[in-house]
Amino acid sequence: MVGRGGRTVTSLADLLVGRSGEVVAVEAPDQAGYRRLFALGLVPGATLTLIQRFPTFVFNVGRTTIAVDREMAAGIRVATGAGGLATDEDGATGG
Amino acid sequence: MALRGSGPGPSDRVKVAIVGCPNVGKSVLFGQLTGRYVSVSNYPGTTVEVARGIGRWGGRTFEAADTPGLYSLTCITDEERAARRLLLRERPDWLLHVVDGKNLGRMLPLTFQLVEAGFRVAVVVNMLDEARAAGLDVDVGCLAGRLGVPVIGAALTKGEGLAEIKAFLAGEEAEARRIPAPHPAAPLLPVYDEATERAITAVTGRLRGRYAMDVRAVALLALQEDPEMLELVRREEGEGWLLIRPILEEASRGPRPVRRRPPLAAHRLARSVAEACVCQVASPRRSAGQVLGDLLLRPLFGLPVLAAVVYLGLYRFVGGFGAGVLVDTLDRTLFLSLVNPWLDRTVDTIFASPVWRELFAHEYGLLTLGVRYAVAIVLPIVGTFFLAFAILEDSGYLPRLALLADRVFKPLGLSGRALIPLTLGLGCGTMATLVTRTLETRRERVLATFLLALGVPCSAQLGVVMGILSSRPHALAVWSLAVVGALVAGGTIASRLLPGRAAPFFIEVPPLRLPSLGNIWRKTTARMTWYFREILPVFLAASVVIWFGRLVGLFPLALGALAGVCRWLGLPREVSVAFLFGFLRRDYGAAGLYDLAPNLPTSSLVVAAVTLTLFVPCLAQTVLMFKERGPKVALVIVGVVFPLAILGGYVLSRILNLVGGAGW
Repeated sequence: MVGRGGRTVTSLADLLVGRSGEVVAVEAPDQAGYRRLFALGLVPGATLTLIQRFPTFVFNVGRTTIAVDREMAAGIRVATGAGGLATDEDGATGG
Repeated sequence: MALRGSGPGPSDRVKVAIVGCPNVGKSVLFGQLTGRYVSVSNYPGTTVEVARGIGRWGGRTFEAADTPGLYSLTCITDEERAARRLLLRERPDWLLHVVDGKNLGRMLPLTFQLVEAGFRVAVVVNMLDEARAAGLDVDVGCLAGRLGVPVIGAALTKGEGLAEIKAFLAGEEAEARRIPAPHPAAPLLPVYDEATERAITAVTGRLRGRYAMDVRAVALLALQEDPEMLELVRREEGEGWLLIRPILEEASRGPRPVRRRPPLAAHRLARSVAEACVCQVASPRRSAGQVLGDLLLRPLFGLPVLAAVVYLGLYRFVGGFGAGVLVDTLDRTLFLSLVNPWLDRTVDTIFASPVWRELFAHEYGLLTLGVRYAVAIVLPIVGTFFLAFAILEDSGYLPRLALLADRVFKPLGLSGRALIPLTLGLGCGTMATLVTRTLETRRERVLATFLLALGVPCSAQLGVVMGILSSRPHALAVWSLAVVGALVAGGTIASRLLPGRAAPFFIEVPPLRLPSLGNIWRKTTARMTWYFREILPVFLAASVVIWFGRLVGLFPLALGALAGVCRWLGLPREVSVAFLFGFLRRDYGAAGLYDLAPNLPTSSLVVAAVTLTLFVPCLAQTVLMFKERGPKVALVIVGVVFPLAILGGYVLSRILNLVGGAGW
């Protein structure tokens, strides 16, 4: 899907290794997962870089490294490409 | 704030709680503050461990508690709930909030929450050495100025900052000169948007109950739908709850619900503080530890290392050295040849009746079996395990292990963390059952306990099974296939049947760090002491059960029932003895089979070995299951494992019969 400012919004599960993106929304399967990712700094507006996809998705956000399984990765929406507009900071959704 | 303590008087003990998220150096600080006066215990009603200790300096006595990892006051894990309860029940005089200097932006929201809740908070900005290596300049004075609470910079693994922390706790005035003075009496707190503030005011205006924290914090947690806080408010307010509920419902409506906003506001504020006080002054240096840490995430390099860690660290060190060399030395050379004979003689001179003699000594006595098991058999295994585990924990390797192993355990409803207890089960199932505590959710703990009870053979069983079957490789192959098949099938089915769903896996991967030897030693010894206190009653109870069973003649009855089972499985009657003793003492049972082996056909041997492996775990493990998981879960596990073992044996014997004839 194409977001505002001509950026492409994909899920972390579809991101290529080495690519960066800006977190647009976090759709954790449950409220608990959402809160934890939030506490780890995975908040809308943060920039993440995917470092590996197998056996689990590992990415950097700020100076923190986080590993998630495919299910969680699918719920992390990131905008890639030259960004124009800032994201809606409250775009995050959880369980 | 009304709820703040009046502060410690000069003669009182000062209660200090160390809080913060995992991997920021809490336990290092705890160790440095408390020296060797440490005890580890479970927080009441939980399986979460809390270390407590006493430290003395500056003419005062300090009671420190190392709380479990806490990311946020809106709790999600057992550990977080235990940490929050501890803070609320004990109302420490000071909270030392330990944060990672490299990641202030995501750690300061907890500082705000703690201050909001009415605690006296001092921030320890730790890992300044790592921050420097990352090219960061962290301005501690700036932080203190902005946050309005005491801030102390530290690199605790290097001892930096410890003196300041101690001086600060010993007397605020004396060291105030050394710690940058905060703005007078006004800690920085997030200001929320209008709608959120309205909701907070509406809730606080209706709160009448007694809460151990500031009502504003109560309102904030309730608005964010913290389950425990909602329950508390409902209980405290009674009728008044009816007035509060609509406000909370309103707060969760709309595309930008109010309940989502406080964390965002806190995060924005934290980020602005961090941006103002932390400066990138040099380009980051990549240390050897970081390079290695990144490599360990890659399957190509990480998986062989993982295999080596599990093999050398768990199998060879814990299983071979701990469960082998140390146990043999203690059990054979100390207990069986010296201590037990002496105990037998002494007890015999005290008691005339064989009933009492056998309660305390001889084959199944409290002293000769119960104490000996706890001291000579379990303690060495546990000691070596805790040592290995502390190293894995403190080096930051554990999350790497979990993320690499996650996919393997997913079908069983478990996460990668389950690798540790399940591997340990190959050493001692009793200890492994205890170690299931390291798993995050109750669901996972139940599943792992079930698998350990079902079919993970302990070292004693493995030894004998290998001994019996190794000369017949095809039999060994059938045994392995049957046991692994039963584990996979059992795990898959159990995870389907168990209510709830597999928790999604996500984990923070801390940098690889060189563990401090002092900290590892303290952790290991404290946990060993704690474990010994937990396990001794279990073994004592097991000996009493056996004594009682023999006294009232329960065992002949059980043997009769088991003989029926054996007939059904096509096994000779004598195997039932091996089954019964296998429950009382797993190694005895397997050993009993060893004596029968030469007279049995291979097919019977395989059936017996498989049934024995799947059979209920040993008595000690069963008692521990009741203790750890509660009677309901334990009874279900026993009730499932017992028929499953017999059914498994039966199916296998039928299959072998069908395939049968030649070679078997």
